[in-house]
Amino acid sequence: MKKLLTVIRYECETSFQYIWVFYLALACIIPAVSGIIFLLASEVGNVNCLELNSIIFVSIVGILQMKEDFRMLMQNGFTRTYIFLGTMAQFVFISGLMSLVDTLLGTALRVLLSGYCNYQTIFGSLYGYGHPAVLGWLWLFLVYLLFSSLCFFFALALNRMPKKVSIFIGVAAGILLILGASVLFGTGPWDSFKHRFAALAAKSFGFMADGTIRLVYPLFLLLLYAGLLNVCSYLVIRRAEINDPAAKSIFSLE
Amino acid sequence: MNAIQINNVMKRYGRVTALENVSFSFEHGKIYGLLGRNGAGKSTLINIIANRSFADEGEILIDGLPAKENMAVHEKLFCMSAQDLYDSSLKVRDIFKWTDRFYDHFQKDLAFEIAERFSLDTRKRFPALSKGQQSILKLTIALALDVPYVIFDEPVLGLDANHRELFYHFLLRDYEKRQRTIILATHLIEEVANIIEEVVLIDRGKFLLQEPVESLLERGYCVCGPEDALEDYCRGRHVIGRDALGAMKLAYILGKKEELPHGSPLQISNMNLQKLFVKLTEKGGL
Amino acid sequence: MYVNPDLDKPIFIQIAEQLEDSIFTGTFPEETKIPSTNEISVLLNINPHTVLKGMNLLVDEEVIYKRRGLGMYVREGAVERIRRKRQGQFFSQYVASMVREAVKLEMSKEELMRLIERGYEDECNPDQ
Repeated sequence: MKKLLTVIRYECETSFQYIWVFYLALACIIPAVSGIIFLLASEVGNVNCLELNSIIFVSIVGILQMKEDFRMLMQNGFTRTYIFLGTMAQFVFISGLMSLVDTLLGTALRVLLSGYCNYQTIFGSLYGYGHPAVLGWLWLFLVYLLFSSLCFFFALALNRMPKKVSIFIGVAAGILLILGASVLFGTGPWDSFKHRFAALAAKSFGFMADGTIRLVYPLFLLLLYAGLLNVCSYLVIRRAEINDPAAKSIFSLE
Repeated sequence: MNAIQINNVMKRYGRVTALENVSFSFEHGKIYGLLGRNGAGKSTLINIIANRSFADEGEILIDGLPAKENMAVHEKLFCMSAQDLYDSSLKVRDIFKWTDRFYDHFQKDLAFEIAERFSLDTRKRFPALSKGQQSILKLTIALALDVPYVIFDEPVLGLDANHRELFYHFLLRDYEKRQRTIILATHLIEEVANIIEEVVLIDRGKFLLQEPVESLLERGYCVCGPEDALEDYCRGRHVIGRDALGAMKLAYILGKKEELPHGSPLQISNMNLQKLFVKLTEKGGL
Repeated sequence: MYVNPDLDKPIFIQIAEQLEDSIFTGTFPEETKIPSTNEISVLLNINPHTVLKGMNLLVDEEVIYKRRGLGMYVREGAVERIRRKRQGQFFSQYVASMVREAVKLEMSKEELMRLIERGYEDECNPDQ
């Protein structure tokens, strides 16, 4: 148990430093950039700066898990199960902390800048500002958790695959995406299917057919996806190896 | 009691068999040399022992417990290898700090003392260190960590002669006090020949032999002289290699050394460990 | 103290001989402590078990003995014991091989005797 707490402490402490740097950088860059835009365009429209950057941040944390933390903890005699649990704790910690900060700051900025521009949070622009802040925080927390889990799984899966396979999958995914986009934006025999799909997607985001918003659906689904991703990550990490240069893949651990 | 037992371990990378049916064991409290050529499979085996990769077949037991994914085992084992596994954002002193938290018996003061003797700047971050200094950092931690099993995989690559001597000095200084099991995997054989007590030879993924250094050296010798007399002598003996210098022929033999008959034109001399190893692994073993 | 790994003589025997030399020449007087296995092992980069094996040879020959908790000490009368042992070994160690070499070089017994006499003169009266 003590060892587990040490892993969790290591994961959280080492990433905490980066969170500081991140917010500091944002605090410098965003006002500077906005100031320039304001001077040039003399008006600033809809603005959102925090959440998108945080999503990128947690995604990067998810990807780097395998490259940095996994190796350090392996060197220090931890099993993959412990490393996984430590990683989960870190994701929860980072997502929880950053979503809290972003929700609070978002609300504050919206009020402060109301005269100058229309500051939006992602949650607010989707569901409006009438909901209790806790729900907004919870939703954002789950979104961040989902992104970090997704990127973590992504990095793990790529690590397990030999280079050729990962390139193949990348190309296949690209083709699928293009096909999917053309289906989505074109018309044709899939129209009725697209309508049904669109209605289902709306429902999963919480927008009911009768015009009401039920947040229970998106919250539950986000948690479910994150949970499923992490279960899959666990299954993959159990087979993750640090090898000789004899075996290589894109994200190989040497 | 077999401290580390390796039972029928097999490991494949695609079509290449890196380890084939390797079985042997390490006992408590000895300094072992795990010798083998580059690519023989030493590092592969070490990675499996250290839970960094998995055997396709077979298993490894440490103090009777399986080594795979077992916290109880790996808090007793430390592996120092060429792979860079340390957190690149941390300074050396922070790495010491975290090692102290991860393990129960890390002697931080000793670590700083050893770092000082190696002129290792503990305020630098890991990537800012030269390759040699990175090795030194890993060595320092392994030397200051009081765990029953320590594995060094090519510990002195990139170190100058002074630092190599310093490493052996620290290794031996604490060995008698703590009597832990130390495994030195290396292809620098002559350097470690006097330090190790027992040798395990791996060649082309297979276990070749395991023997105390002393008895192995007694069994290996070189006979040289004119061809006819040499062939006569070699009949019925285990010849592991041959050389020639003009009319003088040499034969390298593994077996019991007997006194040459009086007036024999042949001469017997010893083989050092490195020569023995080279001859054993040149044409595929015993 | 130094060991040569390339010699035909095993390391532990080299250590035993060098310790014996030091005792014989008085570097380690009788009833004093000799360096520990650890000290020698660290100085020479040799496995302590090898050093111990060499020391045990000397223990068997009653040159040194172990004082519990303190270490190895030179036995009383060790110097004399060493002298007698070396005198006994003198023939096989030096004379036999010398004669063998002389015969190989086709030297007569008289020539060899003359060389021995010269050797004593040089050793006992070095100034001449």
